[in-house]
Amino acid sequence: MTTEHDDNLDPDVNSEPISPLRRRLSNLKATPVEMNSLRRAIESEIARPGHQPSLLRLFRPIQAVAASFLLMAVVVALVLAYSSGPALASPERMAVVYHEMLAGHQSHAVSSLSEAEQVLRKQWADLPSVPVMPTDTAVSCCVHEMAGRRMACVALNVDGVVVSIATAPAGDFSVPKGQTRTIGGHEYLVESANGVNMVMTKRSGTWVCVMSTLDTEALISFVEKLKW
Amino acid sequence: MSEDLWLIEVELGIGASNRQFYDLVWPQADMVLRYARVLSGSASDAEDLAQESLLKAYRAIDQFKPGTEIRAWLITILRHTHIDWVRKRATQHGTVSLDSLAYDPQGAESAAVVMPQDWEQEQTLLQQFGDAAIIDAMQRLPTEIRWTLLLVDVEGLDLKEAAEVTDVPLGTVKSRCHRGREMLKNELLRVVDRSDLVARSVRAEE
Repeated sequence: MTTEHDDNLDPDVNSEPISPLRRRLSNLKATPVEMNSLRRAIESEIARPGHQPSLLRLFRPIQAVAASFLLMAVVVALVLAYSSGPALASPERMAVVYHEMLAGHQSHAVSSLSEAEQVLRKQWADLPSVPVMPTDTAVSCCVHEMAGRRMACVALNVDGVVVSIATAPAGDFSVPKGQTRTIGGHEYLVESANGVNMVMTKRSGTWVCVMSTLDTEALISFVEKLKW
Repeated sequence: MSEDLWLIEVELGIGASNRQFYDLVWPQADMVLRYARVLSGSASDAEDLAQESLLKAYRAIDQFKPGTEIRAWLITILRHTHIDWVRKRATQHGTVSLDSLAYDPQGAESAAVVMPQDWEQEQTLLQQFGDAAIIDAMQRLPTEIRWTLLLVDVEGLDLKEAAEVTDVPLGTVKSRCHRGREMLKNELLRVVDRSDLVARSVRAEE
């Protein structure tokens, strides 16, 4: 019986001339093997880097161009929104402002219009001229920002109903196209959104939006009483 | 694959291992499958063994040292996977491992048909065996003998490298080489004896 650790057995076992058997065995290195099945099995476990369906690969340059245009459009929109042009005071956005004031969100409680003006001026040194209200029952105020433009807002208690008035320099906000009413030579835009009626107008370089659950006629009547 | 996409994948923390795997390991996958075929009994077993080995290589790709021999690294993984695989099968089938190294050369020699002594005649004889027949004959050898022939004679590792892969002394590799070749010759000659290939090879020589 020969042991496993027989160093003396054929010590030149690998230095002898290559035998036909060894030569034949070395040819097994080139035995063709069917790789497709193994390839599928491995690729199902290990994703090839950058591997994607050929159709998507075809569209990649188009996707890149489209993404560039989209990015450019977003940048342009942001630049326009936050630079020179007026912000659009859409009824939906203004309704949100109204509800936020009603909820007291970021608003300061005040007891008079003069107090409201003092509070607002602390937040906004260049506060635009605010028309004199027909009633001095201010309950809260805030400075609201919309698309990079600021507006001063004051909430009034008018016979138990909250009426909010937003004012800003006339050039800072544009008004949407909608139903207008002309009274006494002045044009009023009449809108409604999310249960809030609103009347917008521009006069003496100031944009004003009056909002409430009061009906439109009552709001127009209120606006007509403002002293510019 | 374009470089930009790859860079994105790397930045996202995905794909680096996959790229290493497909750059380094996958080009050697045919070798892994080929050797798995020699080690296992069937094509489907070979594929399972190769797949398991390649997945292990993928999971351990960070442990591969650049600049070292990827083939030797993969063969070591294949060997460990094969050992686990044989043990698992033995457990599943309630049998003892067939990896017995208790080879009795005297017994083998007594059953052997003598290989033609003439070098050219031996070569001519061997050329008549296809790869599949050689592989079948190898599969009848004890596993450690088979591994040694695979590493030294098929892959072409030197004896020291083969000793490192199989984790046995150099002398053991030498003796396994010697015995393995004798055993393989005997296995092939049994086939020859059965199919009368000898007679045809002699006629061809004449």
